[in-house]
Amino acid sequence: MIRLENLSVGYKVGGHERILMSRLNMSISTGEVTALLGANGRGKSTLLRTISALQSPLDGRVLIDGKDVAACSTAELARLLTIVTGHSDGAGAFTVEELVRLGRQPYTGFFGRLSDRDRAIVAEAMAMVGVSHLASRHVATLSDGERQKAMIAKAIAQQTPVIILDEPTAFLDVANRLELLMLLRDISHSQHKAVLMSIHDVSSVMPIADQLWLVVPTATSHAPSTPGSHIPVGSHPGATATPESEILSGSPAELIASDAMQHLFPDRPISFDPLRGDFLPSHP
Amino acid sequence: MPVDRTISGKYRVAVMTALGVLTVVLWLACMLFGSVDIPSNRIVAIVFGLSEGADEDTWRTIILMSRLPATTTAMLAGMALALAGLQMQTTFSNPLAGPSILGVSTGSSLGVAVVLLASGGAVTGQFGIATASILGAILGAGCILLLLLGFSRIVKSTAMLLIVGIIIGYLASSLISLLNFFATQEGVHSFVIWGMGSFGGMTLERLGIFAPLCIIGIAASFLYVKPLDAMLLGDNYARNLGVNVRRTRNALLLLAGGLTALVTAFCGPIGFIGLVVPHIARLIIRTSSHIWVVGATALSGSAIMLLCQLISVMPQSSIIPINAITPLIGAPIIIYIIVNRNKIFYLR
Repeated sequence: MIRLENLSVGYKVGGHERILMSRLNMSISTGEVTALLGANGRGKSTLLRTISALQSPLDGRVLIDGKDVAACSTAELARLLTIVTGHSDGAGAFTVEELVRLGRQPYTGFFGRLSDRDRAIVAEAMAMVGVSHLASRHVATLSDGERQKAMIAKAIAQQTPVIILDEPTAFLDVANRLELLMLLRDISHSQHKAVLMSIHDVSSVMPIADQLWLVVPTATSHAPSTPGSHIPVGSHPGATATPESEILSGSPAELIASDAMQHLFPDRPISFDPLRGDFLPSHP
Repeated sequence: MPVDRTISGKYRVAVMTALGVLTVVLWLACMLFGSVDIPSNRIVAIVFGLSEGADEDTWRTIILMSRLPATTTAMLAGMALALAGLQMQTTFSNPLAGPSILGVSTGSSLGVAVVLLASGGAVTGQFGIATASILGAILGAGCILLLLLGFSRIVKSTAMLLIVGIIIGYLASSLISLLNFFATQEGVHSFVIWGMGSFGGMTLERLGIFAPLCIIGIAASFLYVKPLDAMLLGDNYARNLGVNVRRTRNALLLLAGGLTALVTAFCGPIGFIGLVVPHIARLIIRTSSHIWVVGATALSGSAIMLLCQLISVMPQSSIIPINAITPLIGAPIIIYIIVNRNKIFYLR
């Protein structure tokens, strides 16, 4: 469903390229939940923005359903992928139902009038996420958990094959966190959607993710870090620097077995405990 | 919930009807009351061209040359400024945005200042001053608007563009102050009078130019209900819903700026309405869904502006400047609504 082909992501800062990751070749299938893990500043959000076509890649392509997202019109993209990037303050005076209806915008006409079918889809999306009873409540009066669910209902109403979420569990308590992740897994599996999310909550996401993408510092992932030992990546035109990060992918079980989780936070006084499925202080 | 939807739908239709009725009633009141008492049946006769006898000439002049254009202008200007405020607030995701914040109305003032102050008293006479002001205001606002659209191509962030707009506004203000400093006393006087805002300068001929342009702008506001809804969620969500954010932002800047420039040119810089009416509209219609809010904003804007106009002509001797009244009327209304809602359901 999502395919990255030789994708390089990063920024152009004053004529210089800051390459966060380069030559990524990976994919996500339909009905699969992929969790993007990594330390702050490693480039998770940049990667998500690039995949969502909110930012251009430095090189390579992102294909969704075989279409290059950079070449898609905004209207086409709106039917290919939906994003959940947290709350927007401007949404407060919408009722939940009005917010979820916005998800139908890519399909409605000039004035955004909803057909009976659109209304049914909106109702179904609210029911699926469990916010039907909040339909006429204003978004500003919701708790953080309810609001995040409403945003996900809006995303579902958009009926795209791909859902991309940026830290969907931030600010949520443990019950809401787990409930939300299970909901995303159920939607992904039952509706055959490709779900890609960045998340910091390692222990919660391990049991529900089909695939993990670990964004790790480049040098340390190959071998125990020896300064200056890494191989320069020469394929990128004009690029002299090694990308700052790279991605290790696999199922949670595989990555735990190969001890890859330890590369997420090298040089930090914490380590991954496979039994608990979470990071703990190295020397308590 | 279907049940809730019909209830809130009914409530909103009722609110819209009430606002519409209120606007019509206030328009009639503005036609009926003024510094000269004229029997209502004569007013109807004069408006429909059925007046008879030379003894009604004075009344005819008052009604046709003053009350009808002033009242109709107040109604349209209220709609235009309120809609411009709504468009700015949504485009910039900023509840404090209004037609005056981007420097468009300051640009109008600068244009008028150049005409009235820098011309060194070359423009004289009431008619000359009014005509020159209209041209100066439109030119000034147009320059600022072009500058803003130019920056909009360079500045990607909407918040940064807002800051640039505010800075341009300050620049224009400082130029106005400098012009005031070097101007003649007569020039300063007519500029101060213009700056107080008034519908008194309208004639039927000017209304013939103002009204069609204003109605086009007001009608165009209804074309943006769908992208405005999406833009409330922020630039990224709007793009993800298929909105071309840059193009929509420029179109709305042009529309809001155009409406502001038009009203400012004919009536002077009228503050507060654009800032406060969209909030009043959202609070009473109880949503920010633009298919409702655009209509509610237009009707609330016209009703409040007509109320201000009604009060401004109350004294027998002269007319109170509009800008002295708009906050006096607008502030209690918005404060009453805010205090009486047990929860401000938006703006966390």
